[in-house]
Amino acid sequence: MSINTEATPYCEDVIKKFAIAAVFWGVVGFLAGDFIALQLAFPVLNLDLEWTSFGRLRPVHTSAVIFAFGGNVLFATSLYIVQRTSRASLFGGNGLGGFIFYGFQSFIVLAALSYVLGFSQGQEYAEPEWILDLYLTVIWVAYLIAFAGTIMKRKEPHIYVANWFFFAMILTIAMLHLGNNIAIPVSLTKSYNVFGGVQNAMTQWWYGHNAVGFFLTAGFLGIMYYFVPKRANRPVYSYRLSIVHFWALIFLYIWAGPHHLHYTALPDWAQTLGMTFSVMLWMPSWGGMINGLMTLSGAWDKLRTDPVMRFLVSSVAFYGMSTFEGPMMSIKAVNSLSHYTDWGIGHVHSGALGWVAFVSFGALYDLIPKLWGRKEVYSLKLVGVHFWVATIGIVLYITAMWISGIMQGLMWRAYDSLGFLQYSFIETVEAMHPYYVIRATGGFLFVLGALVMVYNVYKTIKGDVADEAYASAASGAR
Amino acid sequence: MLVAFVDNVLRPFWVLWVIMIFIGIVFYSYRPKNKQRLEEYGNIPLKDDNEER
Repeated sequence: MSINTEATPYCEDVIKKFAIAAVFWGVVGFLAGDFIALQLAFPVLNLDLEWTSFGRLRPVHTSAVIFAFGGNVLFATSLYIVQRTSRASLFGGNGLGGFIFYGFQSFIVLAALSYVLGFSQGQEYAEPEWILDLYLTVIWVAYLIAFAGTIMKRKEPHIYVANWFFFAMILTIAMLHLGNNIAIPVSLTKSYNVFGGVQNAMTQWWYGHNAVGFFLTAGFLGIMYYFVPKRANRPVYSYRLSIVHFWALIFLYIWAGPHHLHYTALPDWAQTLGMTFSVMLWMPSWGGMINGLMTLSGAWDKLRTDPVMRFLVSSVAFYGMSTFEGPMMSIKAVNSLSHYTDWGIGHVHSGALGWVAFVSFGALYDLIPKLWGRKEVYSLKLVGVHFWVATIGIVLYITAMWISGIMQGLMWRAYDSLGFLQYSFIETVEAMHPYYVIRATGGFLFVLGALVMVYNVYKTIKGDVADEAYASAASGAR
Repeated sequence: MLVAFVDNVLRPFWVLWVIMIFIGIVFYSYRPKNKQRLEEYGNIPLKDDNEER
């Protein structure tokens, strides 16, 4: 171990905190998700208490996985990557980093408490009331300053593509957050959105879809563009393609929101616009997939020997699959069957579990040993266990939702010979029960996999080494 | 004057302008002259200056 005296003193204390927080909130969010999945299968689990009803716990789940887990992963990786690829230490150092960290964690706790206690402004994925929205704005601006400041004092002349994706994520999320949450407060805990009716719906889905597009896609593509090349130890397949990929995504995504409002009061031209831009999103979808997967060309053996790589590569495969499915579902004819059914839930989770969570796991398994100065994680074997348990969980989840969703859509539109609806609503609910049980089982496996990760991360930080092949290499290095 | 130009020319054809910018980006990226320089940027993550492992 040689210490380069020229080395940039990277600021990593705060990255460590974000990484641990990501693992913690991941487990919390997955557990909350599996619990509400069980509530759908067995309504008695609502416990007859207002605080634990599905309506209040569902935003706890969505916010916990998207913003608490995904957010902390993004903070950890983006602030790590921006320092490494700029060869500059974090702007504002551990002070500003710590402010962002504690500010964001307290926001998560306050938001979750507010949902459970029944406060919500009713905008999906943006449930926190106005006072918490303002609080989050301050934290986000601090994040922007830390990130942009680091880029500005970079020693590397070129801004690496991963940072472009992160920067687009930070700016767009700021714009979406401010636009969607324009509300008139009537008290400390209650406000009304300035938009009403279909304008409100359109603003909501402009926000909602781009939260997916810029938070869960652009941000995590930044992770892919750093950790896949890093782990494969070879440059990205085509840097030129990554530039085109980036701009295709930026130009198109923001217009895709109206596909959430097909066959509603939204004007037809807006629906068609949303559909068209959604279909064009196949362009960045293929751009990202080709670039991620082809980076491995010539190193495919790593897929067999390195379970961390397996997480990263599978995430790109899931990215390709779910971003193929999404534009297809946005086509109005398909949407008339899929909308409001479980197919939508299945689609979201193939993206969220397969793409977002898997690329995060891959990044965390690569990042955590490096942050704590370990050669490798405690046990690569356990990473492999996590991978397979979680993959089986995802497969159970999305296949159950495909079948249940298409069945639900077909039942809703079935007519009898006299032109009456063939099924009552409750009959469709009854028919979905077995699939809800399968879904909850898949979710349970996903939680189980995350718990294996917790153990592995704990042992890694402690400094233990389990795998014999790595034990000898590690003792040689130290 | 400027407002009229924006309203009558720029706004109605916004899709065209955006597509032209995008085509420009694709042209810039795939221009053979830029190939070596751009692909070199792909090495940035690999040349970390205090990778101690």
